[in-house]
Amino acid sequence: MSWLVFALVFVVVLPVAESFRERTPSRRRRFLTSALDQTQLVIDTETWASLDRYAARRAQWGAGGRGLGMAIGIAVSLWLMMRGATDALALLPVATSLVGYAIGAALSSQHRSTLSSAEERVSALQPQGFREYLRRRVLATEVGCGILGLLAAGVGVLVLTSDPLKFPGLAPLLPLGLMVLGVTVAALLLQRRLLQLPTHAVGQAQLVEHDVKLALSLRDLAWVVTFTTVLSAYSILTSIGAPIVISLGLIAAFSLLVRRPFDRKLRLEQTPVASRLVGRSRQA
Amino acid sequence: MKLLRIDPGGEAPPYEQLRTQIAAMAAEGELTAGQKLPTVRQLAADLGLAANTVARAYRELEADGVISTQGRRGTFVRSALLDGAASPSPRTDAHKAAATLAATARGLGLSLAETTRLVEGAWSHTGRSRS
Repeated sequence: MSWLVFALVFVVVLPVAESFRERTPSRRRRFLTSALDQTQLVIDTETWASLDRYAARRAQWGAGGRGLGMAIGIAVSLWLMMRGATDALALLPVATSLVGYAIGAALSSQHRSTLSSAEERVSALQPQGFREYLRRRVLATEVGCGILGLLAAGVGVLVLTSDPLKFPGLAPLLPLGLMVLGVTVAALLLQRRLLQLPTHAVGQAQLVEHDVKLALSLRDLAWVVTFTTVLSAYSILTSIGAPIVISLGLIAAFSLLVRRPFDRKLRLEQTPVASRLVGRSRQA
Repeated sequence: MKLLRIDPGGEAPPYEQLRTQIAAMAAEGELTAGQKLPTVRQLAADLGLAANTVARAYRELEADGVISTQGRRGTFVRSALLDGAASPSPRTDAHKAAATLAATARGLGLSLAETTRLVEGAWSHTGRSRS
């Protein structure tokens, strides 16, 4: 048993250690450059320093979230498998570690500098709503994922209450549907919370930092909802013994259809404040 | 782009600082017509002000015709041309007159520079006759 515990700890610690590596200056620079290069924004030194501090905080919180998510995922999947669940839940720790990372990274952006009430404050007069930071398509996808999760959980309950042995492949529908629903609701609530956070800025640097971290956190949360849904759908397809072509087709459709709106790189329209305040290196 | 700055220790009260700066930004074109403004609650939280302070500034700006509140849709910088669709305003008349002038000038084969010179001449003539 001790080797199993050691293996589990190793499995949990490895991605956490990998996430902690994101804290090194070169990794932080690479992360920010990669996230911002499509926007072509010309970031000054002060703003870059603010963003760099955010990247360090984000890596730390993301690593913690990933470790916690992975640990919870492994514990839940082992507990369910010991009670006869199929191996369709084997991918659960992958999903929970990514959910943990996205939530941890999003929570890191809640940190804000404390300003005294006597200090001058600035605002870019930018409304902070879902529509200003997330495309309609992304929002619709998020809501759609939640509805799919609810439907899957509903069908799962029906299967369990009727004759579970008649449809053994559909047993994971309830836990996976609940997971998708839970992740969607958590992501939407956290997105709403982030959008309600006040900016508290004394200069342009803080306004741009707030804008970029908001855009990154909202994007991560939207992405993790979609990823969890696709992973769950893949697990269910595998569980019911669907042809591999369908499972691969699902992955291919996910990669092609949602690649652009859920791109890891930010686009100019996703950073409305920065795009108004900061110059661009060249015209798009 | 200009930033809205609120100095809590300034001579003017915060609502007045807010009102004058938003009005100036709208007049200078920093805020474009139809642009959505943040909610009272958001702006108050961002600037560390009481919601009533921002609400008062918005009310006065609305009374001055700088912004308009459209229920749950939010608060927008007022557009004279868009507003004119519902109720004709002097600015809409000017827009129509400019369109007529442009069409007439094109019909006569005048260039934009020639038309602009004509407008400048008429503008200075009107100014002299008013004074």
